[in-house]
Amino acid sequence: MNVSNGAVIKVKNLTLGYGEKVLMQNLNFEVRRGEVFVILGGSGCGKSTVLKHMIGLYPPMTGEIWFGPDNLVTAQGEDRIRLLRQFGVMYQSGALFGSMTVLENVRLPLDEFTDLPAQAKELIALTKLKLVAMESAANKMPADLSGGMQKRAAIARAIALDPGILFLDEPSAGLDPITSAGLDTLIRDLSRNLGFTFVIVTHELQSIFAVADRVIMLDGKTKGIIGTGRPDELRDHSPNPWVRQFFNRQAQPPDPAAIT
Amino acid sequence: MPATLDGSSASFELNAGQAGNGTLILTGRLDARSIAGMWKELEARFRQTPMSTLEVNAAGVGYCDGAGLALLHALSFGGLAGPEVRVTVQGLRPELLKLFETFAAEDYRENRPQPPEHSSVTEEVGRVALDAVSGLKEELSFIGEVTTGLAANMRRAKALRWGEIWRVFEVAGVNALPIISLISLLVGLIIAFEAAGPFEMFGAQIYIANMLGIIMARELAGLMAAIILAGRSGSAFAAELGTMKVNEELNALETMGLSPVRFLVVQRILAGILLTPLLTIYAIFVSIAGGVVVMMFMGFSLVTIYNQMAQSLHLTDILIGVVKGVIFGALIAGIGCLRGLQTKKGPSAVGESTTSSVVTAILMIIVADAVVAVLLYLLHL
Repeated sequence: MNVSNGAVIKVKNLTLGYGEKVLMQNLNFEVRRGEVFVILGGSGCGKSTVLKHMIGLYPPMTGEIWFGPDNLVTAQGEDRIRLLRQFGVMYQSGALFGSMTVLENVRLPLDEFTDLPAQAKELIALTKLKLVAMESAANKMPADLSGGMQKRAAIARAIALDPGILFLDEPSAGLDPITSAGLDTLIRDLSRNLGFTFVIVTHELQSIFAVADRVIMLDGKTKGIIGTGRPDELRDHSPNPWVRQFFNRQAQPPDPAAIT
Repeated sequence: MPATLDGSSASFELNAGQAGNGTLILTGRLDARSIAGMWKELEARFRQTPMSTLEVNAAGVGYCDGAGLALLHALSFGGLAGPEVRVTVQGLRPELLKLFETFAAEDYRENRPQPPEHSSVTEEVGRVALDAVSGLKEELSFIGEVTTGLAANMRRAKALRWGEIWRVFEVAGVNALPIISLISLLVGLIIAFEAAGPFEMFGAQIYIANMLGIIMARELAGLMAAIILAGRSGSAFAAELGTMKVNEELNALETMGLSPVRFLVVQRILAGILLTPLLTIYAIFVSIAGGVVVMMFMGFSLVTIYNQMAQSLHLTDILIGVVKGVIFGALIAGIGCLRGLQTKKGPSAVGESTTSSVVTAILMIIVADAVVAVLLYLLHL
């Protein structure tokens, strides 16, 4: 629905890190409307940190993150809140509020940001839960759900306000292959049928090939992007052998810093 | 279904036809902003115009998000017009129709939150009694485990993890000295100060020294130290063990063949047993010092106060304080650890264990103090 190739997020000259330590520098990329965009890289290279900067949790050292005409880095007050409501986030652990039922978790953004009547909010929350096949767990507490169910419920909460853009941090981590494949199907369906734009951080190769329209590959040593494109393109034709080995799941890739 | 944050507008036209066959024409953008007002208006209109069938025409709907779908679902499930009205929705664009049809009336009815079941007083009483019995069983088995753990560790003193005991000693004991000093000093000062008036009426101010020595050594110093420890350290034990339980660290210990009680609890209880009497002795002296300061301001010399106190305060009194310290220490550490091990699931579980550890420990300290007081009376001590 309404999928065009315009960029919805533009990251310009983003340099980020903790304290004095620079993790990534001068990142430039864009996410297009309706695509499933995957940020990948080896463990500990800073993928999740990039995502946390993109959703405004951490301020970058330098750089800009544009959502349409607005720069998240400089947005303040109401402008910033309006910007934050344009996307939903699913955290690695699901981050459901443990003192509320699943339905209450999904209803929370509706309670806070809309004037809808209670019945409408209940219906919206249940519809979102149905979309992720979690409607039967609506009245359970998060602690009673498995890891995969918690992640699906977290997606339902993230889409409660129909945000258009969804950030997912390691959606497949810790899930069995069947649950993981189910989640991939859900992501694809939400993207293809409802036009959601996804930004996903993962290093699960199967998931990447199942869902990704485009990927960028980050490298901790060179502190930058070492590959951009479709996953099959990168696997077969990347000029960087380290990228090809990553996609082909070969052991002991050579040091990417040494590759020219 | 991308969101828009700009202004949105939608309108409806409700016609009550003949023989109760109504039509509702929806047009515009159905989103959270536009339907909030429309919903209430529709409810009011349906109340005014009862009908038996309703045909919803959504051909004029240009945009429809989750909120818009909720309106269509509420209409079709009878949530707005009434359950007795037969509703048909027509004219939805194919992609919206697909979304609309993914959620059925059964999904709503079966999964909407049900009101909580009310149980009878008898059931409640029964449940509380059963909980009390199972709690007592747990406590007894905990005491048994701790006793066997202590005995086992005593036989193999090297395996006792003395490092952990010293760490607890430092965190729960040394770090508590400033607060214990302050509170003891102030309580000593206050009691001497408050007693000065009544004692003066009988010309018996010098006996403040007797009272201060006995009340602090036998009762108050131990109670103060114990209550501070329960709040500072008993709660910390509960939170520490509770977090370990939530993080499955206790399961990890068990699967390694290590008993959490022997590995974690015994050390804390030993530290508590050794620590509390020491803090009690410290609190006795600091609080007496506080009272002495007041008496010196009243004009008594240090030697006079000492001689007066030496006549009435015996080693037995201080030993009673020490024995109480041992009992209180075991109670505080034991209850803190027990509540930590009993931590349930969920984000509030650790908080509940911590609160419960402090409340139970303070209650048990007072009960134990009363029991010891009766025993001392019977033993003529």
